[in-house]
Amino acid sequence: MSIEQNKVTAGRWFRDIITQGHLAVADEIFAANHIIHDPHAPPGGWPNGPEGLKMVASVFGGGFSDWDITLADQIAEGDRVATRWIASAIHTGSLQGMPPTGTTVRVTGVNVTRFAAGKIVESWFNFDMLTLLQQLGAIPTPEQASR
Amino acid sequence: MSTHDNLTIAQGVYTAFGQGNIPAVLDVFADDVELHGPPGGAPPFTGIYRARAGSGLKQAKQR
Repeated sequence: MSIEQNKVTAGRWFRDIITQGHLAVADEIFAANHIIHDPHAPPGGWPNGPEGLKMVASVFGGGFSDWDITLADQIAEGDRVATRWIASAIHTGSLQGMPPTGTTVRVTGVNVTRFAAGKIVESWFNFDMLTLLQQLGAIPTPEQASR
Repeated sequence: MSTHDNLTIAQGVYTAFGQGNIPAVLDVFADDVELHGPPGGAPPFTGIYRARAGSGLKQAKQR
């Protein structure tokens, strides 16, 4: 696979799976032994393989609707692609115990993916969980905390 | 600047930061640098900070 093809494949996580909810695409683009590195993963981490990605997508896809994700940058070298993304969505479902608020949130992040034999074999997720929780009212902003 | 030069500079920022060498970190940034905070964030951690507009970065750099 070319570097440009890897970029397209990395983008399908955002476009096909998160935005459109096509979870089966995970079986197509992620290897059976895929590993997720995610600082916000539940205790014990996400399962390996496409099932782990489907769980991630279900948690966030079930909590939010009307996704709009912009891939602001994609930088690729060798077997890796780094994608800087900007997402907006509406909190219309339960998110890890938080009831829906109807809030439109905007969140940014960077995902790095490693490819082997045309599939993604390893992913590093980093997104702005602090800002997300503040927008949902789950934790205070600095201004609110100082009152 | 070549890609290698940019990579070396970026790596140097992390090395300097790890050593607590903040002046070396700040020297990497142009005088008209723009810092983009998260769009959904709350003040003061959101928006675009411009060094020439009196941001904390400029103030720190002048010390």
